[in-house]
Amino acid sequence: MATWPAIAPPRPALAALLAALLALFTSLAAAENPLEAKVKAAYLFNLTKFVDWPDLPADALHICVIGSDAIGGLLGELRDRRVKDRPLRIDRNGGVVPGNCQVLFISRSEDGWRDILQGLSGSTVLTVSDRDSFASNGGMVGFYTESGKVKLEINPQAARDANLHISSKLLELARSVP
Amino acid sequence: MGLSLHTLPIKTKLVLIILLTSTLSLALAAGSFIAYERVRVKDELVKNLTSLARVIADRSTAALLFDDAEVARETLNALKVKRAIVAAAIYNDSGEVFARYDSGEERPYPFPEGAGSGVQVSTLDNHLHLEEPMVVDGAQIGRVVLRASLRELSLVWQDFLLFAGLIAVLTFLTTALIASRLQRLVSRPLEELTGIARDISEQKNYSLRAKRTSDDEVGTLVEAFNTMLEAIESRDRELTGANRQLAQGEERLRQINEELEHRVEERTAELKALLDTATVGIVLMKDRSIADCNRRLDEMLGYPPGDLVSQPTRIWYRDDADWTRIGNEAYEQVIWKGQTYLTEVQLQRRDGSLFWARMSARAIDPRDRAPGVVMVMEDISAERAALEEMRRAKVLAEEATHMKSEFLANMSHEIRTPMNAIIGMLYLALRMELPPTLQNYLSKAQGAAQSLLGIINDILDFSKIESGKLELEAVEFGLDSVLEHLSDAIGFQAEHKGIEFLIRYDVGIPPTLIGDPLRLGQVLLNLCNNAVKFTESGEVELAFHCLSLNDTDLNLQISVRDTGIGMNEETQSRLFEKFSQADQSTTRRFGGTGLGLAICKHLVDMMGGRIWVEDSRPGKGTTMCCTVRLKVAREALAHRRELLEQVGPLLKGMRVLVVDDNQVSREILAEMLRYFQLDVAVAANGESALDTLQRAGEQPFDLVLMDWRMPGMNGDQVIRLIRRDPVIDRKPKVVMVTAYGREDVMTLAEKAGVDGFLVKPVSPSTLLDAVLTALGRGRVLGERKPAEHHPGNGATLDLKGARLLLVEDNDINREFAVELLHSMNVQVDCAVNGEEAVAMVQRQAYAGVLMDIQMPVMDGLEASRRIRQLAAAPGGERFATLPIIAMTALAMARDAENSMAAGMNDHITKPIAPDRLMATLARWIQPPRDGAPRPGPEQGAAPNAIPAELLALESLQADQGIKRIGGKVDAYLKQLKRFREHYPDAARELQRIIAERGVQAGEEYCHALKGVSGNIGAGPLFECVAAIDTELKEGRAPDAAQLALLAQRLAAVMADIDSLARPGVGTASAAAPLLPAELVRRLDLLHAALDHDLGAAEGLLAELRGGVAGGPLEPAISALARQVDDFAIDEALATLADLRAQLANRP
Repeated sequence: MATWPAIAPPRPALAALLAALLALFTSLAAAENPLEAKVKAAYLFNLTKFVDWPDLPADALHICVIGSDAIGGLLGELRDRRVKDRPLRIDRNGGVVPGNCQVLFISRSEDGWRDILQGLSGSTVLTVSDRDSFASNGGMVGFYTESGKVKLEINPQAARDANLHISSKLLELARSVP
Repeated sequence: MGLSLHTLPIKTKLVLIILLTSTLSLALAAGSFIAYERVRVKDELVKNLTSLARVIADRSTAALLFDDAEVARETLNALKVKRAIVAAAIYNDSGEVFARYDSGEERPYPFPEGAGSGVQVSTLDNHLHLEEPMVVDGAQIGRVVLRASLRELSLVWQDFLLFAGLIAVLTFLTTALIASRLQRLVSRPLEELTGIARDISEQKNYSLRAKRTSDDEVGTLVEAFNTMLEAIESRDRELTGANRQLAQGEERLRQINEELEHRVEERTAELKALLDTATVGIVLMKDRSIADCNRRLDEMLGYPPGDLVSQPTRIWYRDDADWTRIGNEAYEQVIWKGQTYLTEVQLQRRDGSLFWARMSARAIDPRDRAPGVVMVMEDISAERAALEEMRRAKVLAEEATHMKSEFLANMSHEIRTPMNAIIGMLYLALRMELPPTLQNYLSKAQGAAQSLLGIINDILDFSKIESGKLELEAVEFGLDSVLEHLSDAIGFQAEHKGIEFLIRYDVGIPPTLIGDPLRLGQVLLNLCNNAVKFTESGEVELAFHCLSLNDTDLNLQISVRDTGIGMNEETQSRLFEKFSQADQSTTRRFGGTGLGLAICKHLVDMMGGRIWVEDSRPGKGTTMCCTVRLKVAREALAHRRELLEQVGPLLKGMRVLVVDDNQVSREILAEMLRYFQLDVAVAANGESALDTLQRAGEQPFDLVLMDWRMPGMNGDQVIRLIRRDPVIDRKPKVVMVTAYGREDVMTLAEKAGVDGFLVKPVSPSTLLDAVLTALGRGRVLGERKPAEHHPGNGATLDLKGARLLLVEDNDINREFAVELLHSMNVQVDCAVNGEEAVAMVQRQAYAGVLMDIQMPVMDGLEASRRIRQLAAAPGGERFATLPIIAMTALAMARDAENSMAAGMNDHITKPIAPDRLMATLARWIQPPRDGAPRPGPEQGAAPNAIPAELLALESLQADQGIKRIGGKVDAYLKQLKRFREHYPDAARELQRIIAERGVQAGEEYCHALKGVSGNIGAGPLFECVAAIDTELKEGRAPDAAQLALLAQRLAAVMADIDSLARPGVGTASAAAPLLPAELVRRLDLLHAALDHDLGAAEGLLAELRGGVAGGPLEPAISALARQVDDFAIDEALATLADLRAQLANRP
């Protein structure tokens, strides 16, 4: 089995949590590759660490999820995790694009992602999706798989357009689009 | 190690020090730096690695998070840059290695799985491990571990060390070099100094100096060193100089030594010769062994030269006894005390013969026995023989002297015996009542006889002197009597030659002295004789002067001044030699034996004085002086004062005029009169005398002392003029003073009407007597005959009928002695020799025995012994204490001793001086207690019975008073009258005097009063006055009570005196009325008496009064008597003339 990437501070509790999470992910993610969903969720969570929002609300960091996806559920597990010194909020309303989101994950199932994207222009939301060619089409971060590994592709321009700064460390890793 | 360091030279030390210091510091610095560097490098590395790790970590977070090992790997590969990093790994949070790197340098390191150590930096087998956590958003997601090789570090470290070492060595060398160069700064000066010092000490060249090259301590040292060298150099120079001198000195010394040795050799040779040629044996002894001796000693003892050396001194002694004895005597007692030991002893020669030797030995140095003792030995055999001869001769000479003495003694005796007779007889003759002329002549004859005796004595004395047998007596005598004898002899001569003989007395001379009057008189006689002899005209003055006087001793200076021919210096120098006269012609002109002065000198010397020519000029005169020491009879002094006091009041205030052309004579008289408190005036001739008397006025003169022979008018002329002079109201009494009673003078004087007569030279006592007599104040001193002398108490000894035995073989002497003794109220039995004497003392109890020595049958000494032996027999005790007095003509101390030895108590010498006899008897003879047959006899005056009336007086002890005044009742009464007149209110007078003139004056008055009241026998009064006097003497005025007592007692006396029948007149018993014829006769006598002898006048008046008692003439006679009393002689004479005329007119 592949090891879980390290997420939290090396606390045994966290480790236990992760184990639980893993168990949960495993049990839940029937539709997709559960592992993949897990990784993507983890990646999504980690992404927030490498992005700078110009106006970050003080009370929380919102990750909005559009679409119904196992990732969304998994993400829900990450609620109250702290990132950027804020607790994480996962918003799974779907359907409607929340105005108060920092990260928007558009699940695969969502076909109307382009519209969503267009509706988000001018806002500072990080758009992430695992739909193909998300990044090349105005999305900021896309997940793709390669040789069984989930990889990232990033559209720096889009990020820039949204006034978001993506750390070079991330950029390094990811495939830049275009 | 330490030692060796010290011995290193400074240079080395300095270099070493510098090197050591610098090396140490370098090492220290280097070490510190290296250590620091190492740590730093490591730190650096660590830091590098850490930052690298951090960077990697940071860079790789995304890769890890997003599980991109590739990128992670790439990132790690970037570590290639750092060679040190040999491996690196990224762990994920599960402890798995996510990515790794290996540099390829080493084998890939197997990064351990698992959690990290937690330590960031750790060293693991020479590798450094760094762990850096990868933190994303506050959560650790993994860690980076870097492994770096320290080998690089070590290499660097080694390089570094090598380099450092290199540097060190380099530095060391450089330092060494520089140091060794630079040390010169310090060491060179020191080296130089050292070098110089060494040079100096080696070469002893103190002129070297160090060079001063710096200003630091070394410089100072150099400076000091140089200074020191200066000093040393100069000192050295001095020393050298001194040394040189020393050497010179030594050389000189050596030379001198040689010289000395040479001289010593010479000297020794001389001394040896000296010693050897000495006529006495000289020997040097050490420890009683002969160290060396001279040839004479060898000869003396009969030894070959040199034999005696090293022999013990025992060799010359006769036996061991002598040797031991002398040894004991000589050494410790004498020789080692620095004295000379002298002895005469018989010594033994080599051949055994003995000879007498004198040895005198002396230590060379008493303090050091080593040098030894030098002894001189003389053969005195010849000497001894000579001594024997001398001894024999001495014995012979002594015998001869003895014979001579015997001869002298005998001659003395033989000569004195007839002389004694002459003198004695004269004495007896003079004891009778004689007309003054005869008396005078006999006196003179006696004086001459005495003088003759003196001359004989001169000759005998001279013999005695030659034999050395002259001795002085020590008896009491009065200078006056000596002078009287003198005056008698000299006066005659002086008068004969027409020169004045004056005696100037010193009133301070005590009346009684103790000495040898005979010898003293002899000296005076001799001197005065010479003075008179060698004076043609002018005067001879004998003056006395007390040089010093105290209670016991008198040092008397006597000078004889004449206006004679004088002496030249040559004569003066030979004056005291025997037989010398001024020149031979002098002998012819003046006569004389020439012995006198020699004897005088001897006598004066014996009397503790000296004699000399004070002044003498040819043609001008001579003054001879001598001093003698005499002793003083103490009571005499006291008595003298009393006398004066007694006399004082009686004479006080009397005015006297002394008339004499000779100034000296005038002075002498005036002095003496003043001493008696008379008011004295002088006149040089008749005219001025008259003048003075005329001008007397209110205070007329009471008395005139008139010299007879004067220029212009003679004394008698003047007297006549005085008597006739109307201006002279109250005629004074006149006493004629003339030299050497010439009968014609006396007659003239009588005709002129004198009241008294004095013969020059006048003694104070004679003068006093004459004055008193002339003034009618009685003879205070008692009856005196010129040729007689009483010892001080003014009365003849009264032995009240004591019975004495006189033992004398010579008829004349016996007769004389008997008379003399009778005069002393002594009953005398006679014995003609000693045998008779012894028998007579046993038959009769005598108060004493006067024993002549030289008698036939049995002499006085033997008799005396026999008498004393009688004392041993029972009932003969009185013979032990019987006073036996020797009468000896021998007058030598030996005889006195012999007399004493024979048991005699005392001795007197013949010719017997009456006063001596009296004094001696007074001492030894006790007058019998029972009843005096007679009161004190007075020659020439009828003894008076003391009226009962007088004896009855209570406040007066009349018998005492009478006795005091010499036994004459009349005189006593006179005294009482005077007292009555003089002291009626003495108490008040005394008070007045004290008040006005003080205690001192009061004491004088009181003292006089005391004397007078004592003399009149007013006992109680005397006591009272004496008490007051004592008070006054102590400066205290008498209190009222005392004065009251005085007044009371005084009044009592006055009353008693008043109660006496007729004041001033003697016997109160009424005599039978006198017939007119008798009256007339008496009046005539009275007239004469008033002119000449007031004393007789008293008696006559008494008779007259008695004769006219109750008669018509009584008032007249009373008046007459009163006038006489008041000394209104002229008036009395007038009254008398009237009376006579009255009586003549009667039938």
